[in-house]
Amino acid sequence: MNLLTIALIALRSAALALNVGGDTKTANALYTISDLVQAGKVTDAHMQEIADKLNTRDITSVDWDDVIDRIEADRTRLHGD
Amino acid sequence: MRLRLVAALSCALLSIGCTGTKAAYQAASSPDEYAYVLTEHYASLVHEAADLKENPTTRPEAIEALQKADDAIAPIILGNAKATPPTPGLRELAAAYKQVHDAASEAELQAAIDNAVLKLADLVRAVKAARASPRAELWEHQLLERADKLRLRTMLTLSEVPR
Repeated sequence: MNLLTIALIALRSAALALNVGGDTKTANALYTISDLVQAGKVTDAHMQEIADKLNTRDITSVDWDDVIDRIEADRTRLHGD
Repeated sequence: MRLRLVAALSCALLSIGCTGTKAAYQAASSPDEYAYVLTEHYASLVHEAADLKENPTTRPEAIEALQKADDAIAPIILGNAKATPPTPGLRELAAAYKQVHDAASEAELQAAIDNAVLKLADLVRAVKAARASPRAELWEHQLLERADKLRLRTMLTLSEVPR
């Protein structure tokens, strides 16, 4: 379990305790931070893979094909019904 | 005091969460590699944006903001074949730069990268805003409901105990 996962668990636990104790405002702020960190974690893990790739080899047309395909698939999900 | 603590905690956590992204941009050693990193960063964000759109608790106005931010950056990253004249995406500009390696191709690629960075920041903001959605409030509401039921059950149980 990495530092960020531990931090997320601690954050949500603190938010829960605050909520049960009646401090809704601070609890909501902690939930928001937790959501932002969680969102960043997914992107960040992916970008670390890209960093590792760049540090070991050159980027090829296959890499470009792959990223463009992913973008187009996700744009269809984002803009579709 | 508590809010100051929350602010400090958020800065610390958000900076922990950015190490991979920073590493990727630092690993890029040429403009064409930078263009690739930027494209991958955009891909990751649009993937999250699509997930958010499919999440039923994401507000409609947040989804609209995501779509608008994406519409602004997509032609820069992917190019626009329908424009007059058609505009190249980062891939085409990076390929042209790698092939020719002259000042003109480098300048064109760099201008597109600079433009993409600005629009990417807008998409990052839209994703973050959409994440700070009712989902946390829904979870909290369900938990408090459960706590209330538990409290009520306990009170009823205690009232039945003979004194």
